[in-house]
Amino acid sequence: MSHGLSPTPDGRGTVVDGFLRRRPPRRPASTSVPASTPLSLTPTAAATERASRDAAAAYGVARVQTAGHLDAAHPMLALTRLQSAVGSLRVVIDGDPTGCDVLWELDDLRRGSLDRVPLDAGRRPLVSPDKEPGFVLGLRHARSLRRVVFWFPAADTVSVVLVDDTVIRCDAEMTALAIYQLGGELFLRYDAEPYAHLDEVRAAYGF
Amino acid sequence: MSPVTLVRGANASVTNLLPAVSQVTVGFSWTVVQSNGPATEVVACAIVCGQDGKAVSGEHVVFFNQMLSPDEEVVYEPDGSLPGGDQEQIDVSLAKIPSNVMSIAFVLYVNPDLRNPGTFDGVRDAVVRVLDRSGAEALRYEIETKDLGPTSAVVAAELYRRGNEWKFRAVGQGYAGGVRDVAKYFGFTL
Repeated sequence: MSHGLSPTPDGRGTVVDGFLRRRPPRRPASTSVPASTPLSLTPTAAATERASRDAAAAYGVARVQTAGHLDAAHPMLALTRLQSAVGSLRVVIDGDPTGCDVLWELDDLRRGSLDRVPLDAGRRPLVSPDKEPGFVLGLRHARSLRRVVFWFPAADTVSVVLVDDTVIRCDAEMTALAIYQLGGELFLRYDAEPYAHLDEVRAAYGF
Repeated sequence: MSPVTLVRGANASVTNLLPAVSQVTVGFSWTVVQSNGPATEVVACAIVCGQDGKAVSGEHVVFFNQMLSPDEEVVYEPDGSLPGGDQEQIDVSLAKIPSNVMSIAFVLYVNPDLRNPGTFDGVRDAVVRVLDRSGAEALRYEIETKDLGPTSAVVAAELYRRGNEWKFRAVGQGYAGGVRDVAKYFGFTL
């Protein structure tokens, strides 16, 4: 069965290869995080969208329909352009939320963790703790996002809830959930590596 | 030629007002009441509808993250890049519209972020208008946002076929449930 870990027939590698560059091609000159992030689209965005109309299909990643499930056998899911940009996405933690953290990286390669999250153009944090155990990821400006990695060292189970209340259940073995933005579409990736510390997550994802 | 100003429910013929034009721009502008907290974020979108008045598919909802309809007859222009100076603009190529498309609804919605999304209570001076490609205004509808109250989406206007004509109607229909209700009404999945 084809999934996100399979090389594409045209030899472009896997979708994961593209996402998991341990060494980014360039680093920002400054690591300071501004109070507000300019998040306007570029005029070439429509042309880019025309070229990559359906990245999920190109990579053989399943889309989330009425529900979804992430596990070792199905490690990736793709959201539609509507699911990727309307409202916000909730990551709900069932069990012990102690030690949970978030690593984020914008498309200009500025990066950080939950203790230094930038505000988007709507003056909301890029990602923030939810009222219940878990996190809220704003989607209005998700095109400015490169990736977010949620780490759950002690959670029993984790689920992702979309704007229309569609629930993506994650296998209990999952220790980290990575979300990547590619051409306006969000991809969710399951990770069950037994990271003992956030620094191990940083190292694994090249933060 | 001075632009035609529509009131809620009124319509006018785009074909008659812009007879030599095959491409029109629908421009949106509005003002959000300033506050110190999170801003109310308004999004403009176009929904390409079939004969049943429903969206042809989810891919026929054109907005900032889906900038092209499948037949490329409707194109979202980021940053108001066309002439006219609107906050957001959506370009419609009338000649490219397939025969199965009967109307295009133009919607403004408040992004339903879980963190203080706001409503149209905090939005003023919302206008939708039709321009030609030079930026000259042909039609204008000033949406009565004060009548919308705590709704978070409004179908502002629609462009629709009537015989061989394309007409533009000022709709001004608010949806308390926001973009979710709009999706339900137009039959697409968010």
